[in-house]
Amino acid sequence: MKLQFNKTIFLILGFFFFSLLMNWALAGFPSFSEINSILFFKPGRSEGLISPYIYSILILLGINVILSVSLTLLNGFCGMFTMGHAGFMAIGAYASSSAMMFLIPEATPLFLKLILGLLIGGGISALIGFLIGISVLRLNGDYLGMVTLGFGEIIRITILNIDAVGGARGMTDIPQMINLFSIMFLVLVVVLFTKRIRDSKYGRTMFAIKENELATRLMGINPTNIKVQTFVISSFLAGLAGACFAHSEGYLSTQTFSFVKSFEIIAMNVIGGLGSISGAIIGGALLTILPEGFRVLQDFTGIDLRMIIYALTITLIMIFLPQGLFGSKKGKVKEFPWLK
Amino acid sequence: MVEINKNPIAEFKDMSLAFGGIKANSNVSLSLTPGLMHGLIGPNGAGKSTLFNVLTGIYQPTGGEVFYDGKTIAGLASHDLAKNGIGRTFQNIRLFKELTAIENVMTPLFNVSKTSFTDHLFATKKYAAEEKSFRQKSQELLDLMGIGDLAEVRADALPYGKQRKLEIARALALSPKLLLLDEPAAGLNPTETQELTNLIKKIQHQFGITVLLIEHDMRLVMQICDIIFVLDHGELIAQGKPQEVQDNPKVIEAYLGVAE
Repeated sequence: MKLQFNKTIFLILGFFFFSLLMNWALAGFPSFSEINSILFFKPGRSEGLISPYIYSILILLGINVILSVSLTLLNGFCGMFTMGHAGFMAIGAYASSSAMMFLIPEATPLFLKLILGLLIGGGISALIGFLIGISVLRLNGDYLGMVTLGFGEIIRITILNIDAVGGARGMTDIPQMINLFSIMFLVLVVVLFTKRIRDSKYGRTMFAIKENELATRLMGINPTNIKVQTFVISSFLAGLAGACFAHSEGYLSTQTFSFVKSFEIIAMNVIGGLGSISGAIIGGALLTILPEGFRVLQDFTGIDLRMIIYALTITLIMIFLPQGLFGSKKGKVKEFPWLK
Repeated sequence: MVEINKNPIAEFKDMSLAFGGIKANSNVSLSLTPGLMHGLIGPNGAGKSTLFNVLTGIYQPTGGEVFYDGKTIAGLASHDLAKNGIGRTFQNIRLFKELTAIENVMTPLFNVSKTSFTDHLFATKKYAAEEKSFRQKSQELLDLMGIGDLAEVRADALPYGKQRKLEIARALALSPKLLLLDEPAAGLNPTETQELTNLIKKIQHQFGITVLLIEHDMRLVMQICDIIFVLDHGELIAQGKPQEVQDNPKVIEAYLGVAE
């Protein structure tokens, strides 16, 4: 068989080296003695261009962008209003951490360990997404929102009561293996993946379902199938983001995954503009930076204005751009040129 | 001239449909002959659209049986029936508004797609070739309906008459054997109606499909239909060639009432 070199493979390889270089540029150079120190390099106290604090915010930003993009598949493309995305993130986080601590042998090479952990996190999340999906996706609109909100909380409370993963004490000593390189690479791959889905026959069908489910059905397509598939893909990506979160923080508490987090992800989507991948990226970035980026202000004002600025910005966006930053009333949603 | 000896493509046998105490259709028996243009007329609330919804599997009949292509449709889902070749349009237009005209027509081609998920993920040559052929086929259908130059316009930005045409083009993309048109001329002016009449005739001739159309515009119905069924209060009160139906006293009574 002739090997097919196409754009996608080149892009992914390009992403890989680009994120590797970015990590070094921002955080300083590692010693090149062994592969682990190259791939899993994390900055120390004061090397590189940015402080470790900003470095950790950039990682959180990447995780939020993955979450936001994964919800776009459901909310933006398929028109399914789900409110339990934090639940799938929790499954991914706890499944991946447990797998890495109890299941995968110690001797496994680090990068293989990480890939396995992420896949297990995403995979179990997708499996539970499938089970929930086939049972609730007969519902539409607000009803689906209510049920998924419930499932999100059920997942959280269930984990809270499993003593093996720490229960209410939280899960500690999770290997911290995610650095800026791996999260950037994952973000780019997830965005590309979502773009490909949007431009495929599946994407077309998703938009058709969002517009008119009955008409889609009478065009010979079973909307339930497509919806379940989308739900599975979306929960896989949410689980992946959760796993990344676990392996960057090193500590998990069920409080992180309450419905407040689910609404935060929805807010990222809405502020960016429903149905736009670029919107999901910018929305995710904005809602990470806004609460954190104005910490410096406190040095001048003496009081903490962050939450006020955060709320004010979101209110202003909703007043002046009710369709979101990348949405539009008539015509297609806006996208960055490279995501067109 | 009506060829009854041909096997009917679709057949209603004593079909009844009741919503609680309200009888939408009662004991309707009619059969559709392949390759002919059928009209379904009747006053408002006579059960015409309900008949469409039964034939497309949206409602399950409460009595009697319905056959399509010689097989009963009981237990078949709407999408299976559509896949087997029943295409339809809607009384209140149901286009995919956010998609462009050509994307609307490309959507039903999902059924004949031979590419896998990975083909789409990696944008393989197979995917590119299929997308190209789909686009070509859809463009041909749009050209046929006379809206080929509006292919890249969003569906809800099209004028009303063109939206009706787009809906027919989308139904044709299914390569249907039986095409159900629910009031295709509703809301069109006389010129547009005449244009649409010619189009429907042309489509039926070109594709050799069976058509069943609900329409209130009698000129259109009488002009193009080979057989006409008349429904009133859920019951079939007359059927036959246009002239026969026009002269039928029961039909006149249903539309105009009884002379004192």
